[in-house]
Amino acid sequence: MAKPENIFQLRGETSYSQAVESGPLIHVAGTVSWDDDFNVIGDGDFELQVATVYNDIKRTLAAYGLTADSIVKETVFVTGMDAMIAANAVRASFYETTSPPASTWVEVKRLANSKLAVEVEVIAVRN
Amino acid sequence: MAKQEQVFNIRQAEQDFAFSQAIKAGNMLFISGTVSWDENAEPIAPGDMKAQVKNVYDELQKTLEAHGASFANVVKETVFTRDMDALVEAAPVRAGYFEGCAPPASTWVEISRLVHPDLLVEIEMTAVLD
Repeated sequence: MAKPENIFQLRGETSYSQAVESGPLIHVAGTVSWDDDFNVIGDGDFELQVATVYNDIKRTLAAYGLTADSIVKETVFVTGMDAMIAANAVRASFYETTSPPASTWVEVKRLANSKLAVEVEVIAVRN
Repeated sequence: MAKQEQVFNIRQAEQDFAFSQAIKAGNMLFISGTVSWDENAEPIAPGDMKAQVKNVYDELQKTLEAHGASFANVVKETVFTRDMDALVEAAPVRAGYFEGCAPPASTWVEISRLVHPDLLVEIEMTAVLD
């Protein structure tokens, strides 16, 4: 298996890559709800943040010619677990045409910006 | 290597929350964060870290065995806990599962909550199959 081969940036991330391909695996960075200037989208709106995050994951996978069905593992970090459970339908719709991945959910104290409520990282596998 | 070659589930709660207990892709097995809960997603052994650790590793063992694997196949584990001191105290329970094999690369962190407030520990693993 090769070292990082195909690095993808969604919006000029500095000091990290949005995704790195290595062999059959694509490691996608913890993805949060912000715009191209890194301003938070959906301050106080958990469902909007979830929708924005999964849309960015979708865009990231699309850059590799992949879709949600390539995701084998997901880790969900939230600042409020009850809000995540309430917003899970938004997340589930992302996986409605495939088997959902192995998944871990944890509540943490803070993410990179105090207005961010959810961060999701995934591992995808290329066919 | 194909994606999602084999999807493994233990209980209905996984479908209710929209996740799979494990996904096999090529020779890799990705196992969900596993917790101590019953068929109705109700926590087993609230307040009892040692019992929860045992339940979690029993479920991880069941998941590995369903793929013809054992703890010897585990290359990475991440342990999320509500109470690090209690987890450290319960470490011998965990260590028993890795007797006779090299323990995996492992990360332990204390977090503020899991999916249910009574859950004390959640453990995910990546295994490489023979």
